[in-house]
Formats: sequence, C-alpha cells, structure tokens
Amino acid sequence: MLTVLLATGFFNSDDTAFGTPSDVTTPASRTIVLTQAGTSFVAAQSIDPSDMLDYMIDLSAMLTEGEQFSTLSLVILPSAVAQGFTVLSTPPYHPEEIDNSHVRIWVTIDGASRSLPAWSGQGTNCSFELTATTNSTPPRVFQRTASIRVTQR
Amino acid sequence: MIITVDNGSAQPIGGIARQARVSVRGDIMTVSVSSDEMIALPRIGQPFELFGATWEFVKTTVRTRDLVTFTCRRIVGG
Repeated sequence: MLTVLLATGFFNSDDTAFGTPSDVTTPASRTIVLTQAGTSFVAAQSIDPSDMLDYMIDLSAMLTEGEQFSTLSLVILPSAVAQGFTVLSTPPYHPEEIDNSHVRIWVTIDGASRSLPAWSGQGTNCSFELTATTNSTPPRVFQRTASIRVTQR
Repeated sequence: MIITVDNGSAQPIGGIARQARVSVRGDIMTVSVSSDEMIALPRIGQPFELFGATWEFVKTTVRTRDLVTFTCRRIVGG
C-alpha cells in the first residue's frame, strides 16, 4: 500500500483510492541517482516548460543491506517555486513508490510561467530538496538537493 | 514509504494578490502571482501579514505579461 502525505493535508490511501499503478517506464536519462558522496544530482534529460514528465529518484545507493526508507519529503526550493516548477501530487500523477528505494514523480511548470525568459537558451535548473528517513534503529536521515533543467525546445 | 510533497502554498495576500504561490525559507518568502490574480504591485518596504508574521516587499525578481514574482523579508513574528 502506498501512503501519500500531501502538503495540504493527510491522505491515507489504499490501492482503490489511487487506482492502478502507472504503467510507464521512466528512462535512465530521467533517473536521478542519489549517492552518499555526491554533491550534484541533476537529471540528464531536461524538460520543456510545457511538458508533464515522469522522473525517477533512485535512492538505492543510500541504503545498507536490509535497510529501507520509511519517509521521503520533497520540498521545492523557493526559486523553483517562483518559476512555477511543480511536483504533481494528485492521482494519477502523484508520487509513486516503485519499490523500497525508487520513487517516480511527475513534474511540470505552471501555465503562467511557461514562457519565462529563464527557459530560453541553456535554460535553468529547478531544484528540490529530498529528505529521507530510513527504518534503521535509530533512523538515519539523508538530505540531498536534486535538480531538473527546464529548457525551451 | 510515506511521501511528502511541498510545492509552496496558495495564499491570498491582502492588497497585493487574490491568490499567490508562496514559499518560505528562513526569513525570506518568495511570492509568485499570475497577472489575473494580482490586485496591485507591491511597493518597496510595504508591509503585509501572512502566516502570523509581518513581511515587507524587497524586490521584484520576474515580471512578464502573465506573471510577477517577488521576494519579501520577515520583519516581525512567525
């Protein structure tokens, strides 16, 4: 069962409420692999401001054997909020736990922000902070900042 | 796994916007308003109340036909 906690409130769901899992396969170019030692986590594939695309967050390198993540928080950084960057949170585009170490998210840019000058040329990185807690005793907590580049195509 | 998403929040800002998307980090608040939700452009130093704190306008960071984005600083409370 996937339980999703939204910023606007708490929604404990079962599979019925959220429908069937998505059947998309996220390519490696849209997978952000978080590591213990890395300092920069940017998806290889950029997004056009009018796209609505899935990205995978791979947390597997952060875990030791037998360890799982119990919570994952995604907070969009203020500069990205101001530019309309959004992680969708309502079905069927809600964050989806693929297994204990992979989460699929869907991102887009607000309609009013799709023609910003920031997206022209090389575009702009939109960043979000990921804070994850494991089920170890005591729990370990990891925080990394990941980015997706937004570019007009 | 419990997954939390915080995209900022939609808030009315008295005298400035009927609805704005805001995000707070420390004492700085970033505000994004679509043009059709804008009541009046904020003035430098203009105070307003939000989240139980008083904020003042600092600067406009983006202004297009469809969107205004500005930053504010917390001056009291919160």
